[in-house]
Amino acid sequence: MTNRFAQATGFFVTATLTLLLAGCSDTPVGTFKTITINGEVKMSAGPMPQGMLHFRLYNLESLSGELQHPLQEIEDFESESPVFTHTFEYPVHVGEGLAIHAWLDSDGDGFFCTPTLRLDPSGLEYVETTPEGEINMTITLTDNCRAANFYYPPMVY
Amino acid sequence: MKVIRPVVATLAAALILIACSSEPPANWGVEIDGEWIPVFDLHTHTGAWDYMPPGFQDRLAERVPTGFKWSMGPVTDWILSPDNILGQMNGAGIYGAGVFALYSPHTTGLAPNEFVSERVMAHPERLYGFASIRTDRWNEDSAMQLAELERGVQLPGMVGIKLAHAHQQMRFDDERFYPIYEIAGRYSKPMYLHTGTSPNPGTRYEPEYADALYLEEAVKMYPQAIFILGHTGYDTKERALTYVDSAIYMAATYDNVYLEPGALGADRGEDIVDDFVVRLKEGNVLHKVIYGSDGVQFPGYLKSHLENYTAAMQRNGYTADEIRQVYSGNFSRVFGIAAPGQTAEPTEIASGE
Repeated sequence: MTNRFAQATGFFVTATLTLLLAGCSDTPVGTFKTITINGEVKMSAGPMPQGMLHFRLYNLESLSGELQHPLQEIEDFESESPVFTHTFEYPVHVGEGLAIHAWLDSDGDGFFCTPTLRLDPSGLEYVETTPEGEINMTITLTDNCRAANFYYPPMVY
Repeated sequence: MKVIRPVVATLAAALILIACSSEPPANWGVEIDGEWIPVFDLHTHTGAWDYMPPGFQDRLAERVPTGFKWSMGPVTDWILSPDNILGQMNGAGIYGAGVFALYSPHTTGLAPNEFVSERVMAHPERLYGFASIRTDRWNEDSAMQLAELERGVQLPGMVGIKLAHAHQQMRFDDERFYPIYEIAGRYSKPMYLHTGTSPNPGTRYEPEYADALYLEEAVKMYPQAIFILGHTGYDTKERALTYVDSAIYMAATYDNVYLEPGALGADRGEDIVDDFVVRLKEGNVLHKVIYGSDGVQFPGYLKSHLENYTAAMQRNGYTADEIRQVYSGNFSRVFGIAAPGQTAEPTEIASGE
């Protein structure tokens, strides 16, 4: 009985230490690559109004199986000019492809439209392949007050 | 190794289960001035570790020592099990609770409609399901998803609909999603809509996802649909009442808008819960407030949230009748569900009357 108890205790301690060691070693590390976007924002019609441009970058597709989904946010940035360059760390481990959403704060209120002021144009551009190094993207602002998921996935007609 | 982990985890979960399970209390509810007031908790979550995206798993595990992170799966599955939800309800004296389906792959993950229906049907007299809808590929599959929602609200045990615009990346003012509200009205399934922010990674924090004012057009367009504004616009991320006054305005203005105070009774909300309950009372919307906690989170959460919220109401001069409205009267009126001994058709008592 004593031997069995000692054996069981030894097994439990060994198993616990093994699990702790295993747990300590499984710290996930993300993989990133540096990407530079040379971008330009255009209006679908008419001249570009004045105002700050707000951008959000996304992995175009993320995860797999039932959890697969489009447009996982990477980061935000701003530009006062429609011609811009932005460098960021692309999270390769999160997904693939790249989307960039832009909206113009044409009324200068700091909000991407309010319930009563619907003046801020928006648009999105994307690439399905994972970007490498330096890429060029042109975003055309087509609709006011629209989030990224208004544009991607594209509407099925 | 692959054999040992689940065995040890199951043993650990079983020990926790034994330690934390509780029988139904002698009296349901909370005792106010010598009277027992029944309590419903509109807002609890079920789920499974494997349905959660890595970012949310990391958040749940961030306070767990590195060597024990492997245990998060089985422990989380147990915490979100219907038996644990019911055990926590018993421990708190809560008679009934809403249990939410989720389709938020960007943030908190999935709890599919069938999964939730099966779980609430384990205790159908006390757990009430809320169906949800997947919206992340809306341009491609909205017709199919809307049909799935119609099927979901008719599954056994489903009494309402759950939406989390900030988690599901849906602007409140995006009319592409209005057909969801039409279904809610047509099937008489009250909708719970998360408002305010959330500490979960992937959440949208901008006003168009958090401020209920952006819902005003939809609320007016679908008067037959009931909109319950979850968290009453509580800015959980900043621990501030940023969008609360908007939510109160909506409830005060529109007959089909209600409020829920989920997470305001949590420890994170201790510095603002008094201000919050005062705003509800002074806004004369207590006849529109349906209690919820956003549980079950961790062992004892439902009880501590209820105790904190009760204490805040008592500190700020709520009458027993007002507390009864918040804890059961408004829930019963909206959902047609009553606790044992509760009057079948509770009367509406507006604040101040």
